[in-house]
Amino acid sequence: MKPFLISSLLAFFLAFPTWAYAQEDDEDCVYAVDIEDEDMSDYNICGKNSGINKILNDLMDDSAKGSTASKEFKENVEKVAEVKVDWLKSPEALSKRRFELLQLIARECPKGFEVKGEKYAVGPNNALDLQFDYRCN
Amino acid sequence: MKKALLPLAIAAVLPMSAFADVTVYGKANVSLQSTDEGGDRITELVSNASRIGFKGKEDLGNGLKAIYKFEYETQIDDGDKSGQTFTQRNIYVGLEGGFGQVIAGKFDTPLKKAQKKVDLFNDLEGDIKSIITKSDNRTSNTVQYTTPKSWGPIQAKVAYVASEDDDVDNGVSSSVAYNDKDAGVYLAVAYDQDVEKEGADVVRAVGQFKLSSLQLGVLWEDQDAGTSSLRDGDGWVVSAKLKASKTVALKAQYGQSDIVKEDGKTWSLGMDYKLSKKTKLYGFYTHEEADNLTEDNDYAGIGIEMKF
Repeated sequence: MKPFLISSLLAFFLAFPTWAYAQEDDEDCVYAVDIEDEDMSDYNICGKNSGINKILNDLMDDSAKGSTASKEFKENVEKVAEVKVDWLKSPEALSKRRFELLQLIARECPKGFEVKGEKYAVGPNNALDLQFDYRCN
Repeated sequence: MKKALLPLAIAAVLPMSAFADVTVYGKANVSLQSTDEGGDRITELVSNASRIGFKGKEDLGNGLKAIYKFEYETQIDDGDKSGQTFTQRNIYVGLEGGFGQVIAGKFDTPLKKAQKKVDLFNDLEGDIKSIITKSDNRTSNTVQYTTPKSWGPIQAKVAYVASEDDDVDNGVSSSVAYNDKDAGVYLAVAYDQDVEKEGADVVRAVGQFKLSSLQLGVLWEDQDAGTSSLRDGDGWVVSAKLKASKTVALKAQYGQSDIVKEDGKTWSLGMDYKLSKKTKLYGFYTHEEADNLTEDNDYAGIGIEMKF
């Protein structure tokens, strides 16, 4: 058994065509599993290369950074819509944001909706952040 | 629910926003091998430290970061290691900043980490923990400090291992390493006191050198059993890895030690074939002998490893 395994091993590796693999080793790209503990705070992005990580980080970007619209249910009836990218610093930005929010709500409520209230947060230099409380018909 | 499944269940129900920055990672490594121990030969499928884990960090501002890692071994061959589907590997939480890094939990000691990649058959039958050393430890109840990256090629670690028993001395593991990646030179010395066993001291010296496509490694270790039940002895191993082409690497390793068994000797040959950056096929042959072994041990196998 042992001689057979060793000969099979040698035959396999000698016969396998080298053009099947073309990429050079990238010494700077360490896979997440190989990252040393002392490098935990700054490992190379190429270590996070699995589809699962991409999905996870996209989900976290949506929930934590709010670069796209986020919604929450309140009391199982009312909803809150907010689009948070930058603080609103001009009438035009506020108007544009109001329209964007109403569009988002419209997608959620194809049969119409009622805006129950507007809420404003105040940021640096009196910049504003807007959110709507709404209920679908 | 089995204890080992609990961490995954918890991870599944926590909202994504609970993790500031999370990476799922792991390694699947399985080999089909012929194992001859004591004259009894079997064919077996072996999961070689396959693992899955979560790690991440959170920027706390002012250069301070919180870091964490949860890593579990899983048996790809039969899903069972001592009755557990998942067993704990390195798990810790800590802080890192300009002062360095502090972590607490269960993880590899500085002496174990000092070996770098000298052991070319790590996790396989030719692993140095089989014949060369008893000090490749992953200790519980451990707090470790690592010097900051501002120290350049010099890095020191010291770990305090709490015995949680007032009748047993606490352990200390420490290491100092010099790592010049440009020159391809790595040197380290490490010391364990009361880690493997109370009363035992272990010293380890390591050298690893890269010369173009050739990597050479040497490790020497001395174990002073003191008042413990361990053996007094020393051991050493030398290794060589040659990148024969973009896809093929040839490996060889030889070592002797009295630390694990009387007059223990081991040698291994191997070949890695890269299918991609993540995946490789490999083959190996390992021979072991020692005075208390009536028959030598031989292992030959082929396997696959995939990282993610």
